[in-house]
Amino acid sequence: MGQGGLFSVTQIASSGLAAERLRMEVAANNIANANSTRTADGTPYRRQQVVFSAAMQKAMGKSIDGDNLTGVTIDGVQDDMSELPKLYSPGHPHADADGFVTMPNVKLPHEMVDMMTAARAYEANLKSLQVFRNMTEQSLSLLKGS
Amino acid sequence: MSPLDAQSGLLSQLMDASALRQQVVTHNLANLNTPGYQRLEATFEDQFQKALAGAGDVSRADGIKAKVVASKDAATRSDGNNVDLDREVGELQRTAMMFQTYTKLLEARLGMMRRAMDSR
Repeated sequence: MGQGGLFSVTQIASSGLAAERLRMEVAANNIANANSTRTADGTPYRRQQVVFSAAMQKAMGKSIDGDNLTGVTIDGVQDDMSELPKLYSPGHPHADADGFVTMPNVKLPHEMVDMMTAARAYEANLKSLQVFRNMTEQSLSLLKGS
Repeated sequence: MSPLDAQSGLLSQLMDASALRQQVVTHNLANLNTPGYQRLEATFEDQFQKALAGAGDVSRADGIKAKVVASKDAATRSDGNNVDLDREVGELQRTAMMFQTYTKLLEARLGMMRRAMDSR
């Protein structure tokens, strides 16, 4: 993996940590905008979601070994194109001619579950980082003369 | 052949293999939420077992390396991912413990050599 080598576990785990952190940020942004009926382009806010993919430098015909495990990559943040709910509220400044306001398609339970899975996955990545550190310390302790 | 004796060579091979397994588990954990990801697994025990079956000295295990293979035995979730958090964390702890065992054994072995060299 080029820059990996001895400490490649650190890089794999930190790719996981970064990915889960972004997921958490996106979920928080969705919750913050749960009632934003207007964005810069004039449309209601659309829920965003992160897209991940396994980063693996897999050359054709080459078997998988420790060198081409590179954790997770963030493919990007995409809009959730599911239907936007309408709410009848004639007094609202963003209401249409029939008195309906188009609301963002953010669902609170969905975001909560997303945040919980992100937090658990973050912990798991952190744990493997700790275990790696212990293992490295043990290897290094072999160098200590007794 | 390892520059040390056969036993220390075997122990360091086992440490290498455990370190690779740890890396694979970390990779699985990093992809815990990647849709369509299938977990990987490092296998080496069966190879060592095969090489070391029967009598003789342990240098027969020379050159054995852990293999990384896709694991098919886990239940796949609806998003096409089959990484189970509890399983991976268990694997992580087990690997760390095995690694510690190998390190301690190697430490004892090196201590023996050191004492022999000191010959006091």
